[in-house]
Amino acid sequence: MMEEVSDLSERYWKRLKKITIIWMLAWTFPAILLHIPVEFMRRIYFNGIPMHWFNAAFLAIVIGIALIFLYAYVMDRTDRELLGR
Amino acid sequence: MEFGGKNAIIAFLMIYFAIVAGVALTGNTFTASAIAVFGSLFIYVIVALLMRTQATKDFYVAGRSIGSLPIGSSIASNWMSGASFVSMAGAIAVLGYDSMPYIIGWTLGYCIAAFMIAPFIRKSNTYTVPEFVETRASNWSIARVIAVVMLFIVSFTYLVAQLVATGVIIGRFLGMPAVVGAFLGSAIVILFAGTGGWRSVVWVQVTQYWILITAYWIAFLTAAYIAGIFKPWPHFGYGDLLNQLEANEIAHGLNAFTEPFTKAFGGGTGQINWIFSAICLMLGTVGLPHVLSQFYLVRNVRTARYGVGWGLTFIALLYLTAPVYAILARYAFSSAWGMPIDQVKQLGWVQKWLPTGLIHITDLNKDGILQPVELSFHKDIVVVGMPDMFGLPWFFATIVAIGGLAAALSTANGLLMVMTVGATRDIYKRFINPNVSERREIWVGRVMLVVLAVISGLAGARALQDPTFSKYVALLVGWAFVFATASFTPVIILGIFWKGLNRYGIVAGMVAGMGIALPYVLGVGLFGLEPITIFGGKIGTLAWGIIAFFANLIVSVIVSLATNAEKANPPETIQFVEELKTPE
Repeated sequence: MMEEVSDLSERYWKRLKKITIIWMLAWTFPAILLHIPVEFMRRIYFNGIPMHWFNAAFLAIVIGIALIFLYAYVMDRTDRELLGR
Repeated sequence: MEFGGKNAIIAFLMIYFAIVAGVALTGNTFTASAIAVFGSLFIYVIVALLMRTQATKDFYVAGRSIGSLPIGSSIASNWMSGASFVSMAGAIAVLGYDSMPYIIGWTLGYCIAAFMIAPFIRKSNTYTVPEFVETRASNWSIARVIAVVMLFIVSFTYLVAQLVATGVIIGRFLGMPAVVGAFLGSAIVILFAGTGGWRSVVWVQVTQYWILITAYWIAFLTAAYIAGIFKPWPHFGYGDLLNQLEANEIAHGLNAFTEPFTKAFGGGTGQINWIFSAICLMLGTVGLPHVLSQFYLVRNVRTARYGVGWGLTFIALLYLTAPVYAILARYAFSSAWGMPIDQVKQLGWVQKWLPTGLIHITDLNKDGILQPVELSFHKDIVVVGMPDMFGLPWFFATIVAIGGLAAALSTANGLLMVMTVGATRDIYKRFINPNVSERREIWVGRVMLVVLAVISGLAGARALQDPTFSKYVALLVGWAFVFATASFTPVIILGIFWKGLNRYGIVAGMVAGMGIALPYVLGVGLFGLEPITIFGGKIGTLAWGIIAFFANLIVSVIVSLATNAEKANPPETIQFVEELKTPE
């Protein structure tokens, strides 16, 4: 019984670690990577707005929100799959 | 929240609107404004009274019962200060693209919170951040003391800033002395927090969030409609307006608004500084005690995950709007450039705000024509003066005032609560009287609350009268993020994810982080030393936080490894970390 519990915790933690790493890597996109090619983005316009500005003022945050909800959803599925709830 | 409570709040709101509208219709606009502003304060007090409680669990962690939508709005109003509401759009109007680290830095930190901190903090079942740190450092009381001291320094300066904002808003709109406004603010906050601790504070914050965001959006949407940027929606329909603004700027020999890296941010320049500053603000956000403590209040780990998502969504409603606000205001300014100065002084908003000192017009070259450099403005004018710039009716200004007050007070009561819990649970119960009865503990909490509120009210009054003191408060508020990044954030993240971190590593890391951060911040930020240059860009005080963050991480790891890492942790500490990771 004890064995089973610790084994389950082990598996759960492995999965959680993997998900955390993937999501933190994904976070670098809106937080860092998106803002590096400024010179390139300046030449692209969205509805008349220069893209480098729009990335920082709008897109990055929307992507961030999507990432959090996606994470919560994936963790829900993980809980159901591994813990049967 | 009981069903009856909700209905009572809605009923009060109805009565409130009816009274305000009734007075407004009689044509007495000043009385109507005053009733509207004080009425909003009255509503918050009612909510706090409905939520009053005697149980310590309610007082400290709102009974760990808050759902994800309410905690989301509470996180948002707790986070967004008077400055976010009143000054941020103005800062963007001044700095253009170079101000964007504020926008991404003060939002995307919540991603880190959601993936690496919030669920685990909730799972820890501790009551306070210092308690979490102490437990993780194998019940080493020194770690808790350091954490409490940090918590007090950061929260206190922040609270003073909120009370100053409250004083300024009340002073501006109701013609009272700002000092009276600051004391009024601290008195009101005592009522919010003293009635039911976190339980009443959370529900007051929820009410305040919806009031502040409605106020921000009403003024914004109306101005956007008049400016014609519903193409198809203001947040991505301002392209033509922006192009016109930039054409105006270039015609007057200025840099275009979205031209990157032309101005300093946090004392640094260039792209590396821009990116580092943004990341420092993100890491700092999740290390701030009043942000962390809200993750304790939710029902369970799952609610914590979704709650942070809603929190960022609700923050974004304001943070995505501020840049557009900035462009609208700057466009209004730019259309005055090149006009004869006598004509500019006839503009309605200039007439109204010139006497307050929020805008200055000086004819430097004596040609009678307004140049961009001859019109200077205080950053608060962007949000506060927007209704007048677009010729909106009088009550828009009142709506903005109510929203600004809600933003300042909601942050203030969160901060006061964090300090009260720190003083009661982390100092009184931990070190002075561990066997205190529950009833008495709450009363000790209330006494602490009043003492803290009075001290911060006095400090707020001092800041309003003494520009030097006020400058130091503003500097400290800005540095709070650097210090949180350098001290708390690495310890909390590492403490959750690495069993090997031990008490020596924790303290050595904190000391190293602060040791790297403090001299640089003081030297560059206060004594005017020349910042370090990397790849042709200056590294400002905020960006330096990243260096301190990594110094803390590296030193924590090295010292932990040198002191037998995991083996130095007693079994109960290992157990504590294990439990953070096991599912509920």
